[in-house]
Amino acid sequence: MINIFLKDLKLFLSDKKTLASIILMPIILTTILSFALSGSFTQAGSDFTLNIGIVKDYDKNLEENKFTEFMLDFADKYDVDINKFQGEENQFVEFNPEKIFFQDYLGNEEIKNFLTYEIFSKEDGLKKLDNKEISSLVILPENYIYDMYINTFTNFRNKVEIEIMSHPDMNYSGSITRELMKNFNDIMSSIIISKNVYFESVSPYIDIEKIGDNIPEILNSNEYKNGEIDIEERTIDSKNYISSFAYYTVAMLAMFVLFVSSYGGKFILDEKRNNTFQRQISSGKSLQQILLGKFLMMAVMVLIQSSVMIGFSKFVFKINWINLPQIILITILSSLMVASLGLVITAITLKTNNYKVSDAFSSGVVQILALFGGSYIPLEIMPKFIGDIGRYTPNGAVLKAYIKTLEGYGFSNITGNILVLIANIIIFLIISILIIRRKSDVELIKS
Amino acid sequence: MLEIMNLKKYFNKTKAVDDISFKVEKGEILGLLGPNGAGKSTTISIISTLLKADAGKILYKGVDIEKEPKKIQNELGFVPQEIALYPSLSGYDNLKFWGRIYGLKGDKLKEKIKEVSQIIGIDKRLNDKVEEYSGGMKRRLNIGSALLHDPEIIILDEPTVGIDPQSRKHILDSVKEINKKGSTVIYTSHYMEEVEYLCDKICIMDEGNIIAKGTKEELIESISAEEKIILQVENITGKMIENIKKIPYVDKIAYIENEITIKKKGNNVDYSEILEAVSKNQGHLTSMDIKKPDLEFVFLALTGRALRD
Repeated sequence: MINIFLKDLKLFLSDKKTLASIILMPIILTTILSFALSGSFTQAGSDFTLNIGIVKDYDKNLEENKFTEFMLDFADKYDVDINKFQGEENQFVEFNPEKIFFQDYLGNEEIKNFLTYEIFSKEDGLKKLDNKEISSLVILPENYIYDMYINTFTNFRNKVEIEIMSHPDMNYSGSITRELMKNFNDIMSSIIISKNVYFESVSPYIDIEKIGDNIPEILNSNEYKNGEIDIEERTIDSKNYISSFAYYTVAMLAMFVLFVSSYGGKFILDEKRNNTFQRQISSGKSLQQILLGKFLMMAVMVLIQSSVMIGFSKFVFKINWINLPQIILITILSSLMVASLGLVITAITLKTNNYKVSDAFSSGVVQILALFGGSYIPLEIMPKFIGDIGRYTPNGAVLKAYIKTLEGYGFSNITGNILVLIANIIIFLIISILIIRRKSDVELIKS
Repeated sequence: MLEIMNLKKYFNKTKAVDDISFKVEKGEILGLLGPNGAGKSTTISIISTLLKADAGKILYKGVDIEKEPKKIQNELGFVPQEIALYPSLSGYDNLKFWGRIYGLKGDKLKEKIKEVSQIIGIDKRLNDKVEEYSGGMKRRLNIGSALLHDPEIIILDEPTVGIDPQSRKHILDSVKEINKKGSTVIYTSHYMEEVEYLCDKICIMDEGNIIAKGTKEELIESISAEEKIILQVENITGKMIENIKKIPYVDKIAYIENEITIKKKGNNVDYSEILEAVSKNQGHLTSMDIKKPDLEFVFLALTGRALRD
């Protein structure tokens, strides 16, 4: 069996085209993708800061006046004391939507630690975004001030649409900005809901001109000032940032190891076609021994492939492969997973007696697995259902386990990924055994 | 040494081997002669344990090989009809692999590779990749790969198909040499002259059956052999063949391309009748040969067809 394995390994290593496609290609792709998408990732070890631009697409004074006019109209219609909305008695003076957004929210201590902003005109902001001088541009729309007043002090509700534009190369930063804006929106919604509940609850019992008296109290009870905004920052628990180089080294590795699994099927059919398979059987070698040789060949090829990629990324991209025992464990499990998957393809190839299965796998299935497993785009920014499926794909589990290890997580944090890998190995082995057991002698030697 | 008893093999409803029996004694060369599709390759695939028989038994040194396949596998050198080598590996690596498959290693393996490569005449090209070899060299290496472990029994399935006369001669001489060193040989071919040249005993197969077996002399004797007449004719027609068949001393007739083979009966022969039948049907006779009986003739006598029809 060792002899069969050594021969298969020699055949693999003697094929320069195959070697180029499984070893050189991932290195080239990793290099291209890492440089192209470096803006979407933070540099390892750097302090994370987010620079955004903000456009005020509104006219503050004009909109404040517009709201005052609205309220005067309202007072007139309902015969409310007009002084409530004018002069020193004006209870809305304390409410300042700009202050809430810029000082209370973006000026919050936690946010200030990683976010800086500048105010631009829309034109300048777009230029800065295009030049990647800022990662996102937040546009506060026309009527923003007016709508905020309306939403806060009346039981009307105007839709406020804050527009966020991100540079495609800085996807992560864009996601964080979107999350921040969503968070702000949630806070404001909770204020408005509290106010509406108050209006609806007290209006049957209180004079209409006194309803507004308690609004400042409601506003003061809210969260935008008090730093309850929950922002998860990985540096807090001493974890490492993943650079685009680290991510794509692992992503390409997790994808390209899958290609190896199609070679078991290809090799065994080559052997059937050139009758070396039949010759081995006639010399007393069992099908199991021949398949085990292929299994070992695929596993060792993945080990070689992984070692080359890891070595290359370490010396060229300076990636720090910490926790070597954990990396070795993931690499071994990954090689066994690929070899078991390869055994399924080999068994189906033996059964169908043509190259279509291994060809379809390498040209189609690997691409789908790569997409779902996060090899092209990180799962975190993919739709949730893709992320959920991806975690259970063999390459997705390998990728996650490597990434978590590089981030500094220990074994207990990758147990789930390890279990997914082991489950994949067991399932693949059972499937291949079931397929192989049902082969007749004629099927076996038919070339 | 090897006894085949009532062997049967079917592929779906097609009878590939239909109740055949024969024996191979130690040290002899047995030829399985027959046209393509006669069942030769199926028979040796069963002997080589590649296929299982549907019925019958094969005893190797008294042991049923279906129950104990290892018994024959360890002592068998199998040379398949197709070239069974790894083209992208060198001749040396191929021999090394097959040697190891048969349990050879270390100095013993190196010695055997050297010895066998000299026998098959590729010792000077041993480090070249097999894909760079000529057809004849590949055939010889194909045979050499089965000889490394000094097998007691060697099965060669049509080993000379598609090669030049020089390589063919080299292969036939190698087989004789191997046999002289003590190996028993089963040799299949549809080339009558190869089997005649090599084999001590011959089984003639057709449509899954053994239609005759014995030594060459016994086989010729068995059909009360007569001379055969071979005509080279341009423009053979069906009517021409019909006319020749009607000639009283013509027993059987077969034709292929421009060649007509006639088995005659009796001694009262007037060759001018044949010439007349050819010319009357616009045929152009280019040669006429009268041959002593051979295995081709035996096959014709038994089946009514030429061996390579």
